[in-house]
Amino acid sequence: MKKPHYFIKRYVFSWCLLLSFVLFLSCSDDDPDTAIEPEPAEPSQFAMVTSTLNSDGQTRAFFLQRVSVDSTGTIDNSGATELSPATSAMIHAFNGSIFFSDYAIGQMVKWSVDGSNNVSNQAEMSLVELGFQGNTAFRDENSAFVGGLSTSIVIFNPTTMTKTGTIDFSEFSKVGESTDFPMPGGTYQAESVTEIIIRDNYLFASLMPLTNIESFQPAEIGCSIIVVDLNQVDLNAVGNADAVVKRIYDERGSSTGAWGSGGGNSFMQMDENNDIYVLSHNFWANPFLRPSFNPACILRIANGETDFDEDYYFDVEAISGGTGNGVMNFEYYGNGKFLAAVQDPSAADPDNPFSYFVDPIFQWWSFDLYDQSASIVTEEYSRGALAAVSYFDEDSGYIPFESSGENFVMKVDLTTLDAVQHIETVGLPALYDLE
Amino acid sequence: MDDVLVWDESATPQLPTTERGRARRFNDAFDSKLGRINLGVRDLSWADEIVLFSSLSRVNREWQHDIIPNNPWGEPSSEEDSWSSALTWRNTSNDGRLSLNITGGYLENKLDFLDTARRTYYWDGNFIPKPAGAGESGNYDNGTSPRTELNSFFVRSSLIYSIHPKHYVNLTTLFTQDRFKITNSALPVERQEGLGEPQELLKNYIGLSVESSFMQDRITNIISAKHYYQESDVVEFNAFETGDLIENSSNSIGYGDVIRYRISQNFTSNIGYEYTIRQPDQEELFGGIADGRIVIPNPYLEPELSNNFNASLEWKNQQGNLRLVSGYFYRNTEDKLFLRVVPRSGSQYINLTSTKTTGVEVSADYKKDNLKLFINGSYFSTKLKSISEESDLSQSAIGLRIPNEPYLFANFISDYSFTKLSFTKAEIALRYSVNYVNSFLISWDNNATGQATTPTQTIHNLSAVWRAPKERWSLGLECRNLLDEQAFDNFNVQKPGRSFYIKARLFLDKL
Repeated sequence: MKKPHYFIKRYVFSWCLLLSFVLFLSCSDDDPDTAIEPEPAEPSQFAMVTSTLNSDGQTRAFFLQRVSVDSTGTIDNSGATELSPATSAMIHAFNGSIFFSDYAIGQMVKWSVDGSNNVSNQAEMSLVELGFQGNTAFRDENSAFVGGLSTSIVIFNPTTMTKTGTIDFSEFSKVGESTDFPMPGGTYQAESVTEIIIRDNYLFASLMPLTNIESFQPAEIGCSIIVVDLNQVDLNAVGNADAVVKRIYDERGSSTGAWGSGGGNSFMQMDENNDIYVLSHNFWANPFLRPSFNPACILRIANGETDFDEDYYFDVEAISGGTGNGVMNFEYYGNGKFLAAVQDPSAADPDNPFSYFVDPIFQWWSFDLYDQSASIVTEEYSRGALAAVSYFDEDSGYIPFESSGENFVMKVDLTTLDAVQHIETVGLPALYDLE
Repeated sequence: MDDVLVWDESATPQLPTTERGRARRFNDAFDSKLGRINLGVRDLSWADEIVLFSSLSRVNREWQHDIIPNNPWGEPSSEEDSWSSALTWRNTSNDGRLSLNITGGYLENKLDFLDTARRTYYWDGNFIPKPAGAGESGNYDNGTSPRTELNSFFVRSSLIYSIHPKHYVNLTTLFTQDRFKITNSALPVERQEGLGEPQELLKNYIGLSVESSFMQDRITNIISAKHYYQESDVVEFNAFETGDLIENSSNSIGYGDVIRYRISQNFTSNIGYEYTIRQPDQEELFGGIADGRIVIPNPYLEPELSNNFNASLEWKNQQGNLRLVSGYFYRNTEDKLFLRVVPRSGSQYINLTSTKTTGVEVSADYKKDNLKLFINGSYFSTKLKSISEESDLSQSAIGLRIPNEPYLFANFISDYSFTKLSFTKAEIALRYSVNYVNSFLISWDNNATGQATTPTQTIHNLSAVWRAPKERWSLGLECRNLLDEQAFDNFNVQKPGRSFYIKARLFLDKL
């Protein structure tokens, strides 16, 4: 009797098992209403460099870490790696690497930061021959360009961090020539390549001409840019003087280029139409140079051209805080729109001659290059000349913010321009795209 | 120098490619000459001793770098001449209850610093033309060649009076006047104007203390009050621009009390509280070029004020040749004077708003026959307590340890003298010492990976001195950093490795 009973039990059990398997299959594969949701996309990440001011009041310690856009709360430096304990530097990102351009000592160090937030020093090179180096422009994995207080632009390989050549523009340099600005009888003592932008086969190097390098006294009122034909440049040659096409000049705006200010931000941007726009920032919104200088403005070098576009002029002061309220930063986020920090000179400390640059007297605005409009993002004051380098992801902008004793990343809805405090940081943040 | 950027072999002057390597310092020659004379008489009716001291010195040196060694200098040099004289008079009353010591002196110092090369150097001595301006120590148009002239005058007095065999009064005064002048022929005429201003620092100090013994000398108490006055006229110097002559003055009173209690034959305790004032000195205010660094003036410096609490316990054995001491200290300091680095310009003293220091010290010494042993160790922690509203420092720095300061260190010294040698009547003294400094941060502690530190250092030194009977002459040999360990200063500048010194002395009056 035991055997039939056992058989029935096993038979029933087998059928139940088979039935449940069929039911399982029917639930999983064939029912369109209950299909598995696709894996959510990983939130994008950026490299965040925080810098804390040292007790000297001038140098900063720099820390690098990888941060996800969906991070919240406070991110201190315990997950970061120190890039330098005390210096002054700008930072650029290219091909997933971070280039720490330490202009206080004339060096550039390449760092990598992997997906697990491991940071390592890849290579370094000296740039002391440039005096204070300016911003670096990366063309591809084999060539990048950086200038400084020199009539030569250094060409280097950003993969190996070795110098390969130079571009000598001394034929177009005005160093040694006389100038009547700011007073008659002056001379161009030095010209610095503050920033470089590359479009197609042309390299545009913005200049900061000076009559006195000790006081950084400007030598001219307008905006000068050196144009280089990269088709004529041998990357592995010293000189390349024949590749320098011309020097263009526009008196509607003052000198442009960051020259390392703002942690590596850029004042020369290219839009989707391949038009180059340059923000003439009046020597970093220096009110003491008024009224000689015109208001901060944006000039254009149209696609396919190598001269300033006389038909384009955007007075960014008049449209935002009013004439006299300087404009710093040019954080382009697409379709002709960018974020910038507008200075409120009335908030400056009258006892500090450098207040215009170092104090939290800037408010973030959004500008439109095409319809020449502007809207305020937040009325809170930030050290806008220092906290500058932003990160953009889909419809959101992540903007560094520093006021007195407070540092954070502000998240801006780029459609509505609503801004909220997103991540609190220890030190002034700057955000770099690792893609 | 280890781990510095030098040219790689394929580099050309037009394309100075570099690599990490080791280089010998190349602009650090040092030439020092010193003449000193002491003339005096003793046991006069009106003086126990009266001594005239005078010295003349010349120091020529090359400058390899400033306070931090990131960029080497290839040509700056300085010449410094000093002359100083002082007269000391010391007398004790016939009954021995009053003793008086007065010293007055004068110092004259002239220093010329020359830095006009239009070159940028690398650590291996290679150089390239400087892209703009001249001079290696800053961003100058025509370089810099400051001449500093310092004239100092001082009078110091100390009076000790015994009111009672158990009670002493000590009155100390110090008056100093420093006059400082700077000219710089390399600067354009319009910037000479402010530099020519004579600058002055005047200080006056009066301290009164009473030392009393009670209970068969088991308790000793020292109570003190001090008055500090300071007045300065210093030229402001900001970002290469000479500013106005800034007047500043301060008036402060310090006080304190220290009690020493002999608990038993073996144990003694000390406990004390002091409100101390440290006035900024002439180098900190005027700035200058000395001790291997360029200091930018700061006319706004305030005195450092500190509430200090100290406690210690001492034990010694019955024979008195072994002693152990342990101590605790606490400092609550306002306006701590702190040397900061100014990139490409030198350094500058500033005030840190408020700091707190706690620490412990231990030491032991032992003597037996010709052998002496000493060991001590200190641990302390100085942390930023608050920042002023004007400070650019982030709030996050509050509570962090002050960088560039060792906080854990120890020393060991052993001395042994051979006094009865068969081959000579001279004495030979040997000393072996070890200095240990634990690794410390050179920036604020952010608890981050890879923060730059000055490495842990353990330096061994060995010396021997051969002294003739009655010390008529002596000959000393010394080897510092015997094991050739890497050594660094507080700003992570690598110091010399193993080095040897010979010193011979001859006493004319004992020949």
